[in-house]
Amino acid sequence: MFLSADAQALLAAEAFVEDAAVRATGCRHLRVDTAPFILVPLGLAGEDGAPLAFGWGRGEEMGLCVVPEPRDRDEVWAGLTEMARVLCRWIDPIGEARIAVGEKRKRWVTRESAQLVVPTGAGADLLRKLAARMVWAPEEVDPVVRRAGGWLLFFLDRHELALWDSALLIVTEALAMHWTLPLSGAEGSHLLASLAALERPGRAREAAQEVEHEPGGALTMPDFDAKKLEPAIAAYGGAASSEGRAARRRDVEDLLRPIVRRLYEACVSGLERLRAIPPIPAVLEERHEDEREALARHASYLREEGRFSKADSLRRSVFLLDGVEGEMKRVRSSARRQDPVLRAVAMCEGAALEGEVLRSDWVRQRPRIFRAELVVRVSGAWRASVERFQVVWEREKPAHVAVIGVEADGEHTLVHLRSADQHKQLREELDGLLAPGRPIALVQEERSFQTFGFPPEVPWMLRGSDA
Amino acid sequence: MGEGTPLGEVELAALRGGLAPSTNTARDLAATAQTPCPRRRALAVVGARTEDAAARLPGPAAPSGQSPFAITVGTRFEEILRRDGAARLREALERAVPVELGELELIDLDARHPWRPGVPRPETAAARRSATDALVAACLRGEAEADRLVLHPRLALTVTDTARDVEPDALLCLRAGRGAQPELLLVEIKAFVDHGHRTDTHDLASTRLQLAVYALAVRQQLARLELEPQPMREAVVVLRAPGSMVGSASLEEVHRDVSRLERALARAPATLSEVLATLPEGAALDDSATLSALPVRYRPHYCLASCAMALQCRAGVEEAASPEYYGSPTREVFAAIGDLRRAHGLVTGSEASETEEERELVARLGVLRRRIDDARRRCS
Repeated sequence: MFLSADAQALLAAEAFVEDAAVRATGCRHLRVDTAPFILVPLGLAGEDGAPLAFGWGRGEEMGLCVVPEPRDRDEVWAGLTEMARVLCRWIDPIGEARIAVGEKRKRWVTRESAQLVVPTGAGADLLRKLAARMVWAPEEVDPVVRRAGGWLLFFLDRHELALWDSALLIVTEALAMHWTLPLSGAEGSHLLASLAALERPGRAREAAQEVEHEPGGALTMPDFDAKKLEPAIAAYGGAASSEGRAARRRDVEDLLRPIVRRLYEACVSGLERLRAIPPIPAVLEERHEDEREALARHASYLREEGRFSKADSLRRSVFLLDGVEGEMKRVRSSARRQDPVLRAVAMCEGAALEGEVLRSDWVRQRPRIFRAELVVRVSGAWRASVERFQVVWEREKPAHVAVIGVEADGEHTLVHLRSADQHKQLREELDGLLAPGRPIALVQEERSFQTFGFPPEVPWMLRGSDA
Repeated sequence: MGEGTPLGEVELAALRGGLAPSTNTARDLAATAQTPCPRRRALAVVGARTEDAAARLPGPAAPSGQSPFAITVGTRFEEILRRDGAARLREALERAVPVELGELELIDLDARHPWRPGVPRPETAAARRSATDALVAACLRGEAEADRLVLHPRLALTVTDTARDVEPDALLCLRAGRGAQPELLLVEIKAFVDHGHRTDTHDLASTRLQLAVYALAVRQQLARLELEPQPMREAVVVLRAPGSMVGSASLEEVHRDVSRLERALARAPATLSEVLATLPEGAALDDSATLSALPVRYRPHYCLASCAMALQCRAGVEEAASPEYYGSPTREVFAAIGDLRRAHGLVTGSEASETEEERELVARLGVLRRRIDDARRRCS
């Protein structure tokens, strides 16, 4: 996700030769809560968006709900109601417990964060289809279903629009973000195959191939459907008495429990592996608060019985796209600042720089206003892909520099930089940070649209009368 | 496309040998536009089932077949749409077709010319083709008395040097379509659910390509009947409304897919003679050695999802350590090397570059490799 095509190919070759998963980042770029809510959905093949079973839990224990006839509407609503009750029992109290934060205490955020974990992208797709159905549930269905649908849409939308706050964590995606597996992307979308490859260095491909015929997404396998599930569902449908139906229901449960359990345990194991990677704390904290604010807002919206549209308007879509683009740039920049591996990859694209300060001078612009001029020595060849960079340092206030020249120097490259900010009082502090012989790192300055109002680059005809 | 007399079913059966004939020509031909794999194309050209071919190749084949639930829902949905004089299909079409539909005359070729066990298939096929030709000609010549909905029309299609028939789900023959001119609209029924803008784009793309095959067949039919060509820019796709068995129809643009299909069919092996040129004299595709000798183009995302031979092809590229094992972008980055082990050896410096291409690769990626290794050391 953060890597260039060249870097992906390099790591893929390494993973293939080692026959093992290799780390693709230096740090963890996602938040992993201590006890997130894991939800494993399973759907019926051929019946797009028909739920077959749900597994859930926050630790080792897993709850299970089975829809023994997913083609029967009443059964589906009963199953969704059971899942909705469990989901709301977890998320409603989190959404309601709010505190005011910020300098003027005007920002309301939830006291704690919420994280929903889903095994695969296919599972998330299935949940979205179910959520869209749930928020438009008929009046006779328990209102908790509409509420839970609204909560699911919150998590799914956050994943699409603000992926980086990890409100929804898709395990296969998170693993692929942090490891390059000796598997293609298509195989990596199978959770069991991904985990098997991670767990068996030296014979990762073989291990993944051993489990790839088991359900690893959101559907059961055709062979299982034909030989076991279809007869069990037919027996349930054909049972004459309520005792008989209860017994046949247990048969369907017994068939599906091991499949859901396996995926659930794989989620737990995947989260453990992710937790073992050191996170990038400052950035995660910032995203974390944004997510808690959105969570509090969404809880209010649901409390006021807010409705959900079936599609976004063009105007809203443009705003959302703008938000996503801005967020992506911000996160990519943060990732490069915090993660030396990603910075190394960006360096080869000319979007980052690491080297040693060779010379630094202060050029007086006006009385008491100076600009720094630096010469940085970089090992190997380097070429800038952009003009403006940000200095990576501990100080809160960012410092910007512009590349004014690049020259080869044997096995090194000399990069001439000029400070883009005007420094008044910080000269002494900067003197220490930019002293000759000190290491320095720069990352490409990410620019995005202004954060309020309509993006100026949007054509006027899309802006509407009130833009 | 090839020249001369196209080969018919008898010659194709000889080439297939013991391989079972494919039951969906349009889907097979549409697949050739989605993958550049010569082995898959060869099987599509001779009309053989890939599942059958996979069973004859060495190594374990991918589990084939659909879930019985998927098969049941597909059959049941079509049956419900066609029930009661295709009442539900008509309702769905009325909402999608851009002109007002009057009284529709329903012509069900399955009822008029059914496939009977005692009657030879070519005879029934010819009867269905002639009936379709007559209905289309009557519509476009302005001789029809009503708009017609033809269920399972049969169209002859000559591509890749072979003559085969294809059967769309329905064909709407409008006496006064857009611009008050006679118009033909192909109709394809699919049982997957219409989720609006979130409908699976891959499923829709495959459906459009299948419609493009039918559109090509209609073009050829009109040329054969010396009728005014039809643009066939759009076709109707009928999906399932969420949580029901009600049809949700919409007009889909297919003209780009027709062009894409034509371009794909023109790629080698484009004709049967080109397929034959790659085979030994008198060989049939049911022979394991012949099948194995056909080159493959493994594309993990596409092949693993849709081809019964995918696991055998994957085993081949894995053994050869080909960058195709990963698909894009690794395949493109290491295209000049063609071997993942060699590529890794070159960039890590354990092997020396010998060609200009290898030197270029090392110059470009060697620095990246060193920088990543340095950064990893700092992280650990």
